[in-house]
Amino acid sequence: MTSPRAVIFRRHLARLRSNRSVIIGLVFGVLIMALLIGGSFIAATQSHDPDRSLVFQYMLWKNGELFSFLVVVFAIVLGSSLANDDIKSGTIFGVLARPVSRADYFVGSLAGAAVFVVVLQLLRIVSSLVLSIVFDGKLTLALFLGFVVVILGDLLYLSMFAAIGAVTSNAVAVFLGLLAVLITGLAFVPDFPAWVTYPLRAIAIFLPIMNESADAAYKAIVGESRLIAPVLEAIAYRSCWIAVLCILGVWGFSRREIAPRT
Amino acid sequence: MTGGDDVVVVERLEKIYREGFPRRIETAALTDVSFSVPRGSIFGLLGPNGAGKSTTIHLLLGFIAPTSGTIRVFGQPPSSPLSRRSLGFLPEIFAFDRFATGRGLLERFDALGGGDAAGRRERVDEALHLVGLAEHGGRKIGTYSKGMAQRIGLGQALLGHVELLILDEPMSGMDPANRRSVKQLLAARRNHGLTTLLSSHILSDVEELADHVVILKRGMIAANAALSELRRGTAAMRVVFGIVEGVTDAASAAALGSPSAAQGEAGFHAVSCADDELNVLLAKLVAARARIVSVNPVQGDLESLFLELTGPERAAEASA
Repeated sequence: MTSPRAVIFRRHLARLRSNRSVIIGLVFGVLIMALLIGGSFIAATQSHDPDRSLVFQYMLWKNGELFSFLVVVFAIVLGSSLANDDIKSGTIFGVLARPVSRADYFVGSLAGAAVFVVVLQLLRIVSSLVLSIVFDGKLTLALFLGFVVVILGDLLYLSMFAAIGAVTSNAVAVFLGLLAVLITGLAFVPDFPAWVTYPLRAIAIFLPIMNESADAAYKAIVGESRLIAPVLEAIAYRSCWIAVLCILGVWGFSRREIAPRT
Repeated sequence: MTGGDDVVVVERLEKIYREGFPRRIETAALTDVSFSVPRGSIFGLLGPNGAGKSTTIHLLLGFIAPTSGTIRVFGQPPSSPLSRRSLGFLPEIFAFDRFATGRGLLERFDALGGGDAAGRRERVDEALHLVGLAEHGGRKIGTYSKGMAQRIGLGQALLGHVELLILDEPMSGMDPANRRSVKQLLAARRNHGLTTLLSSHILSDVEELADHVVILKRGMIAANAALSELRRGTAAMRVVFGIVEGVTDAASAAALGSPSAAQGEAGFHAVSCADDELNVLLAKLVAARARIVSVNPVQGDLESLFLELTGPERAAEASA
């Protein structure tokens, strides 16, 4: 007997595979990644630095902000529409009329959406690893843990927007989520005056997307730091937040009143 | 009517919708609704638009939570997935995953219902055959006609070992032939012990199928009885009489003054009255020397009863 969660997971994968916007997003991501890899590769081969692997990693990760932004947007869209698209189309009611708990529905769908987000990020991670080997770079534990932090960061965005989208409409979820991203982003801008950043940091403490954990990951990936502890701390921090957000999402979705159009 | 073999038991159910911010507007959708659905029956849930039929169904399925009162489906609260283990549901508008084939959709629903993988193909074949889509199971649902989509919806509701079927306007998009086959299917399944809760605006369908009906009016129960009892309650006697020329006394005038009296062909008049009023009416007509042509019992129909129970409110709404 297959668990309802596994069936929902496969269903959500099939839903996303048939969604034209999602496929366009993936194709766009692949194109950006190809350009990024190409640019980083050329920069590394033309570099006079003895460790060309580090140059490549630096180019790929520190300069790959457009790609990071794309993955975050992808996570925001998939997260906020996790249940809302199904509710809007009415397809959720056939599913929830079966012996399926709201928790199974939420977790199964979240896992399905997570696959797409992870696949997009894996494009960069796999190419990073392959070309690191090509440039005789060192494959350290810190490097691998850094990749884990990056993936957890994407999943953090996904679960945060899914948790908000579990209790509100798509548009409200995107608005609130982007507001949280903006607050966190502005809170850590070094050039901003303290009277702006300090209140924002006070709010950002309660938001799970703080920049310190991202810095630990990037330093490990581009070889600026070989310390494992900050990366492990970032993994623990992000994993805990993902768990908390999943629980909040399940709790909120279980209490949400939904009804088919009549 | 609450017994040990009731599949659904609803007691003092109340649902208030609260909308708006910051000022909350409260709308009472259901007030003090109690009924139970006996196993193996076809149970009609009727009422005009906005009476609370769909709200009741959504509460039974756990889509929304009651403000107060209790609901038990197979002895479980609707929030528990166990209450839906042997339940099939067809909403008024069956939205489906357009990317799936009819067979793929039924296989997924079978898996969600906890059906074992070994017998899945057989169960899906049976459901497709039941709703007449055996030939079209491999087609994407997006290419189905409205009637076919409604039938695949019924197929998923009937899939596997279903003991309670909840149908919200199941025949709204179907042609007469499909409607007939669905009615035959429901009647046949009742003989095998299936319980059906049927919400429909097509009163003739409900009248043909249902054993018991609940009529809701403004979120409250206006009638809750076996269909045969309701019919008995609305049964009437129809008296056809002629007025002898030159006689214009009070009796015939009284009879003609009745709202149900009407002058028919050949100068005859027809008047309906309740069974226990028949003797009084006949005595008046005889005293007035009216010529009694016929006296016949008239069976009350569901539509008349429905309009009688819900009519005054609708008329008031129309004039408001």
